[in-house]
Amino acid sequence: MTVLFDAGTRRLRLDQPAFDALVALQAGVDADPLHVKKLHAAGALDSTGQVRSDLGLASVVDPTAVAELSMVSDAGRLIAGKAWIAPAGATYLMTAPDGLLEVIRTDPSCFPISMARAVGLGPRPRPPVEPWKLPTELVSDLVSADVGRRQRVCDLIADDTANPATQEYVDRLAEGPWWYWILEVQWPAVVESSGMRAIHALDTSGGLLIMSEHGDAVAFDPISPTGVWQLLTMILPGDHEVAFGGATGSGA
Amino acid sequence: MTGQLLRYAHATPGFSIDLPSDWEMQVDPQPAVAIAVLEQRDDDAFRANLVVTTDDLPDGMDLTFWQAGIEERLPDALNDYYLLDMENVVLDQEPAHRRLAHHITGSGVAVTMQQWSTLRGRRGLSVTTTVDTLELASTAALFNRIVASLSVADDPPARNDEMR
Repeated sequence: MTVLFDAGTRRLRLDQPAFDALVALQAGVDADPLHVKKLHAAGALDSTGQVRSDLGLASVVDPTAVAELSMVSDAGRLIAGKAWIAPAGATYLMTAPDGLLEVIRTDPSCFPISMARAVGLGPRPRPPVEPWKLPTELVSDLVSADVGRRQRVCDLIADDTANPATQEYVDRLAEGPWWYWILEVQWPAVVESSGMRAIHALDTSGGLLIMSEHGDAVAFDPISPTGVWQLLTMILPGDHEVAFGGATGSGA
Repeated sequence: MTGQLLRYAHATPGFSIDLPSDWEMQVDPQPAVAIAVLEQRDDDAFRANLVVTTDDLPDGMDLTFWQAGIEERLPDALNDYYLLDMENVVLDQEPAHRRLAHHITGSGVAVTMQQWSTLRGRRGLSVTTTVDTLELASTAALFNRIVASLSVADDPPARNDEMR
């Protein structure tokens, strides 16, 4: 078990067992004494043995909404993160470069920009790529780290269009680099809300595509960074969608 | 969010634009700021706003060079500045530049800023809108209508500030 905590910056990095122990303590459930000892030694607990309130674990045990982000690259690199959003704060558990998990806390209103930073949203070209659809069963091949599988699907898409921008974009997908990312936010469903929103995006140096389900197919539509940003700002539930107030407490 | 817009004309630097009739307007509040228009709210939340600013630019400076310089300075001027998007657009039938960015205000509000900039000779004119990020969806259409209504004069009109 590893716990690294800097009290000055409140930067907390730890492994999954340590995080689970921290959440158990926050929830008032017994945790492994050895884990508790290590958390205490690292400074993540206060003098009374309680989880430091500034770590934001209260959002984790009583969230209004939970978000999961997964990013996969053309080379098969995987980055995953999870966030718990409550009116008092948003707490993120992100994979750090050294493989540990990093706990980050922000105001819930910073959730969209935190996700934008995580996925590297920024200016992109806007080539006149035509939308296309792909049978759902081929999507995993398109975003595979296996170049051969990817190339076969890209050839199918390229053969189906006469649009040079689309063909060039598909070439970029075959060759890489790119990131495919999924952000899903869930909350308890109510009459006015299904309790879930998600964004599926493909990001290449040639521009962004948004993916959406259409029956047995997935549609790929060009989208600007502005369009993605608008989706990020609307992904959290509003007051009317949750039983006891919105995720941010702002009435958004 | 209001739907009624009224035409406003400003003599110097010479532009007209549609503005929400019930927003608070400040004319020439400080040097290089022609107007600042703020949403009226009943609560103490961040007030969406629109500001028109002007720059007198050196001879030979083009839109791209001007905007590159601004982009360099913004991270020092705004807390946690993050550029989300930028593109070349057409505004009032002339080339213009649009940027979309995020920053945190001095009072800790996460805001989204959009800025459209265009040149007339050595005169640069920018329209900047700022809104609480979580309210972006409710203001986007209004701000797009306002910016699309902008008309910049090649020569300043004879009369000063006028709302019709």
